[in-house]
Amino acid sequence: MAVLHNFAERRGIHFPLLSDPDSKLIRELGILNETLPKDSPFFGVPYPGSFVLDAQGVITAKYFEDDFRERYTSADILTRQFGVRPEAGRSEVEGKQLKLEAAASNLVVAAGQTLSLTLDIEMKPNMHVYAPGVEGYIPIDWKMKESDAMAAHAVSYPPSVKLHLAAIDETVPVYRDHFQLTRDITIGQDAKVRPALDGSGKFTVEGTLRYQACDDRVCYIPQEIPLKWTFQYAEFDKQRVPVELRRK
Amino acid sequence: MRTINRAWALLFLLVCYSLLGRDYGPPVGGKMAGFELPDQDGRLRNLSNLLGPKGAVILFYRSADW
Repeated sequence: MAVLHNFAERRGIHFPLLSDPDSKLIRELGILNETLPKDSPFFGVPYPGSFVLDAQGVITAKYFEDDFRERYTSADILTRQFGVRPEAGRSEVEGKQLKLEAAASNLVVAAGQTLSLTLDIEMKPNMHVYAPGVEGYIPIDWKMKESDAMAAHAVSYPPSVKLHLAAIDETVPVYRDHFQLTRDITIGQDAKVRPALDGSGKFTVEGTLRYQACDDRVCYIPQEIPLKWTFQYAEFDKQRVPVELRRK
Repeated sequence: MRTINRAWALLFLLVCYSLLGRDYGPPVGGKMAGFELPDQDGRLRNLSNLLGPKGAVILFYRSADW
């Protein structure tokens, strides 16, 4: 408790930090990390992760990582779970048939963090692009350039709209008006990220968005929009509590 | 015959489990276990007084001092 009190004061934390002295709740939930030797001073720690609960205490989502060095950022959970639109670091691209805003849940990131990237896409009037799974047309496709600094996860696509094309009597899955694509990326371990940093401790990840837009009469030439996110790399917080409070 | 089917079913489940990675804690849709634990100021907090109108997010962390 003294450790938590010190930590909360140092970091200006006002939400409750609970201690589970004998790992009773951790054991009851089945999240005790049993890969540590029983005589290790760290035995009793949980696998790190979050439970999202509704007002009745029912679990509506879980965010746990298999690798204990990796964590979901709280901003990632806000974006994915609660649809909070990241406000920071938005960059706008105006294409011929659409307008696109790229953003990230976090702009300052540390090794092993999982955060989300978002693309807010606004189609121009009467325009549509094709959703994944379409046959005979080019579906919208968001690729990330391979990088040592991060691993990209799969894109999460919203439900598509079924559009009936009267001229050719076909029904196809499309996106129109406004829609959002999101995907998580996990920042690599420290040694992998360092070489990618520039002089001011920043690094950039890149990708492309490929699509073919059509209106109710014409399909236009497929387009490729380059995408770019720049992050400030954060060192781990290595500050500790005063010696007398530390676990022996 | 039935035993063989069962053995295959068990094997299938084990393969699925190893492919999907491990699951942590109670399943989505399950209820969070009740608890009463001290916070950083020594006040006892329990699940029902932590839940707000929209619920709560409970984060498990290894330590605040590593």
